[in-house]
This record gives sequence, C-alpha cells and structure tokens, in this order.
Amino acid sequence: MKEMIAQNELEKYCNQLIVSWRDSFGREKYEDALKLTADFIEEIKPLYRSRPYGEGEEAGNSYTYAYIFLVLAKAFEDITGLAELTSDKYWPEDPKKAELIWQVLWDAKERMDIVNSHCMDRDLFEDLYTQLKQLEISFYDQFGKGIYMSPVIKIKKAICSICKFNIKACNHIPGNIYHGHPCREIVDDMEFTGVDMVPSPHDMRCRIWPWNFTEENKFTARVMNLNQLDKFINE
Amino acid sequence: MEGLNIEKHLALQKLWNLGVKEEVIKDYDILILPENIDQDGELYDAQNSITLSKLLKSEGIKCANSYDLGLNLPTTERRSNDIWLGQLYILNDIILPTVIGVVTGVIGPLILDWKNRKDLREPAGNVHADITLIRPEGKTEIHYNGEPEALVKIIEALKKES
Repeated sequence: MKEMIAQNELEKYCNQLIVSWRDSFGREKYEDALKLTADFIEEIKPLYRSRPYGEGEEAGNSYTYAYIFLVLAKAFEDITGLAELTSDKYWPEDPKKAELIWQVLWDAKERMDIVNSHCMDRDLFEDLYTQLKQLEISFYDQFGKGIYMSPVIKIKKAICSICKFNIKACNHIPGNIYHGHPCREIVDDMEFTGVDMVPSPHDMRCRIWPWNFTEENKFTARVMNLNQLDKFINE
Repeated sequence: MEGLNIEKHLALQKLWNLGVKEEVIKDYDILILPENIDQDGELYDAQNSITLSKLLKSEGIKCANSYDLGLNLPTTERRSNDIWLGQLYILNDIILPTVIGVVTGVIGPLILDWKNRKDLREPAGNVHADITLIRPEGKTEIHYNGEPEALVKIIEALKKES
C-alpha cells in the first residue's frame, strides 16, 4: 500500500502537478497529461477523504489545499480532453461532438473559477482562460450566440452544507471553502415554477441546439445541471 | 436609529404589519428585504440577498435579512447569469463605504465578465437591486436593472452626497 503524503510535503506534491502537466500539455503529449491528472486524483482523493492530519486549523488548510488541487486536476483533465476533441478540425460538423465539447468547455471553465482565487500560477491560468475563451468564441462563430434554458425555482427550505442549519441563519458563505469543505446550499424543499429561455443563463450547458429540434418543432434541451463539479471526489 | 419614521416607508410599514417591531428595525444599519416587499402577494427573498447579508455581517455591519427579522420566506432562484440583490434599506449612511465594497465583491464576477468580454456575443449578466438610503433629511431611492459597474458608481455617488 502506498504511503500517505506527509502534511509538510502536500503543497510541494500538489505544485508539482502544475509543472508536470504544463510540460506534457505544452508538448501536446495528451496521453501523458491525462495520466498525470488521473494518478494525482487517485493519490490525493483518499487523503482528502480520510483526513489523516487531524482537525485543527493547519490541517484544515491542508484539506482546502488538497480540495483545490483535486478540482484543478479535474480542470486540467477537461482541458486536455478539449485539446484532443478539437484536434480534428471538422469537429463542428459533428453535432454530438460539438455538444460534448461545449459541455466540457464549461466544466473546465467553472472548475477553473473555483480554484482561481487560490491561483498559484497566474500566467498559466491566464493562458488557459484565453484558450477556453477562444474555443467559446469559435462556438459563437459556428453556431451563433445561442438561447438557453433557465429554470425558475422557489426554494422553500435550504440548509448549509457546513453546519446543517438553515442557510439564512448561519455565517457560512456559499462558495467559500471551510477546512476543505465547500459551503453549499442544500435544498430541502423546493417548487419548480417555470423555465425561461434566456440569452444569458446561469448554466451555459443548457443551450438549445438546432439539431435537437424535431420536424414537429419540438426540441429537447437540458434545463438544469444537478451534477456538482467536485462530485468525482466522493465517487 | 433615531428619527426613523416607519409610517413614511412602505416597505418598513409592511414589516411592521408582519409583526416586526419598530425597535428591532431600528437596531440595524441595513435591511436586506424581499425583492417584492413593496408589492402585494407572497413575499420572497432575492437569490443573492442572503450571501450579501452574510458578507455585510462578516464586515461587522449590523445587517438583517428576512430570517433575522423573524420572517420565514422562500427564495426565488432564476438560475440566470444575472444577480438579484433584493431591496436594500440603508438606515445609517456611515456604512456606505462598506456597502460599496461588499456589493462590488458580490457583483465582481459580473464586472469582470463585462470587462473581459472580447466579443459582444458573449453573455454578460446584469444586476437587479432596489436601494433606499434613509437620512434624517429625507430618502434616496434607486431602482436598478442594468450592467454591474454602473451600480457601483451610483452607490458611490450617494456616498459623496453624505
């Protein structure tokens, strides 16, 4: 059984991921880049979940660090996947591939957003954001700006994922990370009141694609995404 | 707050009708109220109002959201890229600089989206907020639906008035 990384080695180990991935990705060695991220996730995930460093403030910072790097590794995986998927210049002609690329693009961007405020390498992040932005714009060139589904929800009761109290009553801020745990609103009771079609949605994955219309002018489209971007950590 | 005449303010009067005592209201510097507090029908909180109230509290501001005032209301989430802050009742203008800082933080991602927009086809969200600033000499009301940075400038203009 592999030995658990010591707490004082964690930061160095995590930072090494950035150096190694950047090198492989830059040289277009996508298989190597994917293996790096997969190995990293496999190594850090059990550490994050078993919390071997105790529960003090310093240990909490280490779990936050581990969490950030797990999400970053997954973003690297997304970006590597995008590079592979778009290496075929005819990808816009394949609707299913285009849909997949669009989804992975937003997974990557939102994962980058989660780790951005803890950004360790500003140049790399700016470079990756620019690449993602270019891909996004190529979609507008190919398929137009798009219209998106946007549900309207009445949340009657929601609790805080950190303290389990009413989210309106506690001091935890949704999106902030507390000792490695992201604060989330866990909806306990809700009512789905409608769906809008909007040009600027909360979730860009909910795009209505022209090829998903039938001859009777019916269409299928995603209304909301229930998958959390860090779900892989607990799988 | 001394001199606050609840009868002059529809939203505060409505709170009073809902059982929120005047002395409770006066104990706060800012109230983050349901976005439809001045309308008839079921009240609901705006989707970003709770985070806003938490951030204000974390800055040491005496801030109340609907829950703090004893109201058990649902929250409407529209899941669009816009930000809804609800109705902000500023009862003490000393806190304006902090309010500006916190509001700028909450809508910061939208400001960045607008600034980094390289192509007009990229979606960029708007901000929706109703702000009432109550001073002994009168009140100023802002009903805002628009791009994020202009809202910050408008609130800053209120500060200069102080």
